[in-house]
Amino acid sequence: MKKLLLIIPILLIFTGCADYKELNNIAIVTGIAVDMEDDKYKVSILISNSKKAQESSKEGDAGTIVYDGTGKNFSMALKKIDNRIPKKIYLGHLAVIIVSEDVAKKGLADISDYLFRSPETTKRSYLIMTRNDEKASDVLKILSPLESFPSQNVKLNIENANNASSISDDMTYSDFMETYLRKGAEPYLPTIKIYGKEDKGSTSKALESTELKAFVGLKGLALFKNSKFLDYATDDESRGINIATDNTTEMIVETTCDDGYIITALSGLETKTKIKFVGNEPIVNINVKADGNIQEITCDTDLKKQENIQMIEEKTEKKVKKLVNQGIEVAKENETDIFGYGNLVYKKNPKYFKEIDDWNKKFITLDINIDIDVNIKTMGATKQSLKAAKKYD
Amino acid sequence: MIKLNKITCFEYGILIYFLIRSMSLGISMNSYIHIGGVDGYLSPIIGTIIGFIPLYIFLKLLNYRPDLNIFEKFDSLFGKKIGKIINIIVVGTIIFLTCIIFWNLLNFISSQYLFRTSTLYVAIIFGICFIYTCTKSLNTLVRTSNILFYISIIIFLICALGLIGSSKLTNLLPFLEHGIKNPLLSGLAHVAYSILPLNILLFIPKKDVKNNKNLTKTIIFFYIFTNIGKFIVIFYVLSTFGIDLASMYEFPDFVLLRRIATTGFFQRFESILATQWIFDLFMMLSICFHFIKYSFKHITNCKYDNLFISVLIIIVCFISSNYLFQNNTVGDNFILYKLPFVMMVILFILPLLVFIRTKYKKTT
Repeated sequence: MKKLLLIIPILLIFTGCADYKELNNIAIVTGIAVDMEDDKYKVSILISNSKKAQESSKEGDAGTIVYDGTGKNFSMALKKIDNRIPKKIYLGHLAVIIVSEDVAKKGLADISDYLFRSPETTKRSYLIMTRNDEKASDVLKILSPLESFPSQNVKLNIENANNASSISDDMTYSDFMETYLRKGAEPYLPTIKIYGKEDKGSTSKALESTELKAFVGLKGLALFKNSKFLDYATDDESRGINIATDNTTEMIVETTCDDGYIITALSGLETKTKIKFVGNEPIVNINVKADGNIQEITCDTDLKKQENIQMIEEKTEKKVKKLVNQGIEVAKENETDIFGYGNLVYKKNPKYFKEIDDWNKKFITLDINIDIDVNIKTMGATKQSLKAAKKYD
Repeated sequence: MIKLNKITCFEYGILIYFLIRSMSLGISMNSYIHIGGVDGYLSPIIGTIIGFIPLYIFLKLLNYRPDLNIFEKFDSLFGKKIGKIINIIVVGTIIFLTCIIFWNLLNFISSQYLFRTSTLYVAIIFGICFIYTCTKSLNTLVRTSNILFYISIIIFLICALGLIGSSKLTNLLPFLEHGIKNPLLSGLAHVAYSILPLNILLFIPKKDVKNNKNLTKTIIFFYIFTNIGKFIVIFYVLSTFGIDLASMYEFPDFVLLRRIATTGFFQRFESILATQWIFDLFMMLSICFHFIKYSFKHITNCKYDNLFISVLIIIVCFISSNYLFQNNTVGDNFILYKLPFVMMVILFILPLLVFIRTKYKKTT
């Protein structure tokens, strides 16, 4: 009898209690987009387990569906969607959160609380912004021939962002909130752009031709202050920001030579930032180290001479320094310390930091020294450029 | 005299392990973060060092008349009447503590797992398990604790190894910005939540432990071993999240487990890893209920101790699920700022007085 008393509650526990839901009774949301519409939030959700996705075996069929709802806040907008779909919204597999520029200008803190507070969400979803007047919901509708869901396409795009272009960053929701809460640091976000026309990319017809009618691609970074959007950084400025914040390990750097270009692929990029106090004023020292590999050379520079290799290294270092300077300048122009130097100053000398009313104003006048060290180790499969081989050999 | 079956030193050590760890989730973790601040990781270290004082008193009380349990020791030191009063006060406090710990367990489960299920339903499920374990002898509890101990250690190792790459030492700066005051206060809270509950184990007389010559060494070993584990948890929480983000979460140690992604495909299994804390709380509550049961038996000399403890567990389920605290804010504030004082009085000052009394009785 006593054993029966024990078995019954164990069996009850296995049912998952009142929270139990069958898999086909939940709508698995893998992407959320937030736009502004008539001064209200329009939330669009991408459901990845629609009936079409489960039943359709035809390649290229749009197996996902987007629902949207409008409300004064995130919860009310989501509730509106709840009323329209027959399944329970499940946010446990949320991969990407896309916000429009309008929402970002109003402030991301206003829409963040729901996702932050919900125990269902992972907080490791990627956060990204659309540019100018593009709608965030349109990004969720663009189909890709390489991935099953648009959200998966965006997610993998972000994850591979640390490639040679290095203009973007894999910013998660948790990272953004952490930076927002941190003293002496401001957040930034990667941005995404729609190439082509959204309506042509959101139907399965778009996948039937070899030329894509519409697709999404990552662009440069968006600068924020107190969770409100300020300005965009250009591609070069974004590269500089990623180098300065140690967010990239690879990059391609283009320098000029007599009648052509030298493309150096940097790998193992490592940036160390230290704060030094000189006469009660902080100075930031940035040291960037990277290994280089000559990827392409279109001039007749003789690569068998060590002095030429050193010349290429110096040119590359100069270019990288210029990129970092550009990144720092755009942040200073917008009075937003996206590098977190204020936080480093606070950690080094909290007393000094507390005496400053507005760190972002102090950031404009901060002395920043940049030291770049590039070491070209390899030249690919060949020892000499084609033009130089014709000329010298 | 209450008869208990004998347990080994290792099993006694396992009970110590669970008692020290039990109030970690939601209770001592919050004190490290909200009182200790960015230096909260120093609290277990400071608390462990200061905790040697109550540990010494605990060991002395354990060794005084090893054939008696704590209720009988109260009677022998203070006389039957005063001893009974002290027993009633102590058991009343332990019942209150049990309600709080049960509330914490229900709060964790309902906020992180079953947020649409009534807490009373969850409380009843656990209540049935407690009723079953409490109607059995201590050996049932000890055998259960053996199994849960090994599972807990394995889960802890998975967590500790899975989080290695996620911590950033710069999140622990600035070091001692406000001096040693905050970590010291948080260290004292660590003593209150983690070390003082050890006194509950005094209901097991030393003579009921096999080969009890090694018992002191075993206790000290488990004491240090478990506190190192607590240090590792708070270190990871603060170094991964930083103080700003860590102080936002209700259960930052649980949210931290979401960062574990071993070999790229083992992800999102924080719900399984968090069962180690559910085991800790389960064991702590089971030990408390056993304490209350034996205390009741000693005070009333009644045969119906199993019936009494079953009814008490049901009452605790009802109180903890609905009536104990109005909301989380009230509960968190009470646990953070008032509970340490209650525990200090009953689980430190009282044993200290008993210890002084044992010295006085020896000299006279």
